[in-house]
Amino acid sequence: MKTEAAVDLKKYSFKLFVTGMSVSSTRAIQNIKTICESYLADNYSLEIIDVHKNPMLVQKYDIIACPTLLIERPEPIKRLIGDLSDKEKILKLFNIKNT
Amino acid sequence: MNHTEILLVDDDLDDQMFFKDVLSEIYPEIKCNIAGHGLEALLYLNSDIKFPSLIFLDLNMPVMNGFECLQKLKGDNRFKKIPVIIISTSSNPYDMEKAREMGAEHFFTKPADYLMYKENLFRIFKNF
Amino acid sequence: MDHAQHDDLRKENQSLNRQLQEYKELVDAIKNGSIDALAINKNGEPEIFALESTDYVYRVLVENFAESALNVTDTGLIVYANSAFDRLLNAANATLVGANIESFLDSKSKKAFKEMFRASFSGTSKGELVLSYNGKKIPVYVSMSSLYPRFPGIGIIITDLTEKKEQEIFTSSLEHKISERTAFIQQVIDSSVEAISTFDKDLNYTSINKTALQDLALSANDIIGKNVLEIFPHLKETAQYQSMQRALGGETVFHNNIISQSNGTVYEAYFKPLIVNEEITGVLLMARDITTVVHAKRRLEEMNRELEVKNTELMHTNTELASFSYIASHDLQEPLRKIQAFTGRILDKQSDEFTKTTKDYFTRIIAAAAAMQNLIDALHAYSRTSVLKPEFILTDLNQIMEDVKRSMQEMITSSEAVIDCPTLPTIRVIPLQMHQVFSNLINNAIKFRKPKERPYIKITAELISEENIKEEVALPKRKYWKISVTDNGIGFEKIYGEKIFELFQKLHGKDAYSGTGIGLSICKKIIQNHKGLINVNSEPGMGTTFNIYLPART
Repeated sequence: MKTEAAVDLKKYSFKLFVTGMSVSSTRAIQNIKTICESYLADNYSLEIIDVHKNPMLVQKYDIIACPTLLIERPEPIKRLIGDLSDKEKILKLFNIKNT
Repeated sequence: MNHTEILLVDDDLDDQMFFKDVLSEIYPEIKCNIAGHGLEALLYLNSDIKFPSLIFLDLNMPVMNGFECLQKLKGDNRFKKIPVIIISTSSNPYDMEKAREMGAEHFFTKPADYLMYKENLFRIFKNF
Repeated sequence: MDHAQHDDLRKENQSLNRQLQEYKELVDAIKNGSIDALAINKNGEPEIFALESTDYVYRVLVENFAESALNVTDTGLIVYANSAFDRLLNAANATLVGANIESFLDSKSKKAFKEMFRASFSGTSKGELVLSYNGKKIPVYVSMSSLYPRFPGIGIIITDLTEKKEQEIFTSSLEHKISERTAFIQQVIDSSVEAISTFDKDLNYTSINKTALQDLALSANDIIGKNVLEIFPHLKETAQYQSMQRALGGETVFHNNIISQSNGTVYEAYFKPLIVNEEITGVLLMARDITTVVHAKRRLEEMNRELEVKNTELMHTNTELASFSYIASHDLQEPLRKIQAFTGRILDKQSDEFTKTTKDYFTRIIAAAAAMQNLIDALHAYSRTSVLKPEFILTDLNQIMEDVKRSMQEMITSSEAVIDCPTLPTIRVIPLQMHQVFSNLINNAIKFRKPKERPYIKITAELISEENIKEEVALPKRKYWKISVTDNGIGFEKIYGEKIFELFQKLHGKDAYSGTGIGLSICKKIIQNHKGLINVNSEPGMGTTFNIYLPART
């Protein structure tokens, strides 16, 4: 398991809140994985959180819908709701230009 | 004791002769009557004669052997006081013991040696 | 700014504020859980999503499954994993979701997984695989089902087979052990010299060992399952068949002489009930080939019988021989004694008339006759020890000694011998034989006296314990009477010690001392009859001591 300290070293840090068994959550997982692997190489940490298993985290991070991607870095903290199919918008939020 | 007449009961003719010869050498005055076996001896004693003062009795004899004869002699009041000297070639202790028990006064083993024969016979006559 | 414009802006601002308020309220309501469902516009169509989800029950069920349940995408990406999967791999759920399932497969299972995964797209597929995580291998049973078209992915159920595999290994090792043990027992049973067979309640063969098969010259296939009467019809009226029935009744029956009809082999056999769980299930037959034993025993009996007959014959012969020698020696004495008597008389009376040569010849005739006389006497005595049945009588040895002295009176008197004899014990002996021993020893003492010296014979008796006897005795741990006869005669060399007890052994030349060489062997034989010992100490010129050891009364 990765430690918190190790996570901190990465430039990009995300938490994806999903329901796991829904179509949108499935798409969101697929999409974020594709983006991360394509653009961020090893320079990211991604935690996929099943809201059913971790209801406390829902409250902590003030999540109202699933799937929600919580972008912790780069700052400021941003939230993105939906299945993450709009790649351009996401890259913009990451401050990455699509070449 | 003075002996004038004795009786020799023996079936063997050689022994009869030898006994008589040796006796006559020591005591020529003693008369030696002879019986060939036990029954003859009893018949002789029952006839009207003078009783012998000694009886020499052989054990192995035909018709009536020495033991039978001895039993009869010692069982008869008339004869039982006559000393009986068993003369035998046997020195079988069993026979000796038996003869003694039946009342024989002495057991005389016939020695082969002439001189010893003579000496023994002499001693017997001295003692009885 | 014109008033109307300002008014419009205020109105719009109020409307936006209201709208914002509404959204805030909506969001609060959603967050508070006071909303049941959301109406969503999808492709222009309204769709209602229940918030308090109807799949809640299934979710809880799946989450709490003992089996692992996964949702994976068509590339194998894990989008859901229940807690059983966390436990199976011993990992946090967050590290498992988002990972590819292929990364958890053992390298040897990857190919099989790919085939199963591909197959699952058109329905379901199942199979055994091995997972590998953090160096730990986990055997699993995997079941995959396509969730298309409603859901873009594959549902996977994984069952942990670790325990089952361990159980399988345990079971197979147990089976192996059992089969090894069974083979061992079978080998032992097959190696038994006993022919062993078992039968069920109807007396059908259920098993048979090698020895039995060899004896019957049949193979197991010919026998197993068949009724005993089918194999051996002649048994029907025999005691053996009855014994099998009795064994079925719970009895153990032993036969010591069963003779095989086919080859005459002799068996001894046990018929025993076979008992399983306190119930008679059949019969156990154990038979042992005792043909050689029986034959050997029979032969031994025959030999014993032969030996008995021979022994009886030998005893007869011995008795006849002994009585013959007794009678012969007795009858031989008579003419010999007469020869001696008459020649002795002639020599005594008429030697003066003889020539020197004649006189010498006569002396030689007498000496020869005397020698023969001695031989016959000894033979007579020896045969008597054999003929007479030994009868042990409690006897006062003093009495015996008196008898001996009396019977030897002439010899004692003529030699002027002195016999110094203390009180002797009373013990169990054969009186006549002891008489013979004493008379032989005294006779010896007088015979081997020094010329011109009076024979002095000292007899002693003492009670000693067995340990004080140097030689081995027949009755250990007993007290023994040691009776010694010591003379002052010529004695002899030590080296002759044992020799003088041998038959016809003479130490001295014919001329010097008369003797037959039988006397001492008679003594030895008699003492042996009494379970005692006789030995001798002597030195030339210093006299001789004979020691007799006789068991004391217990």
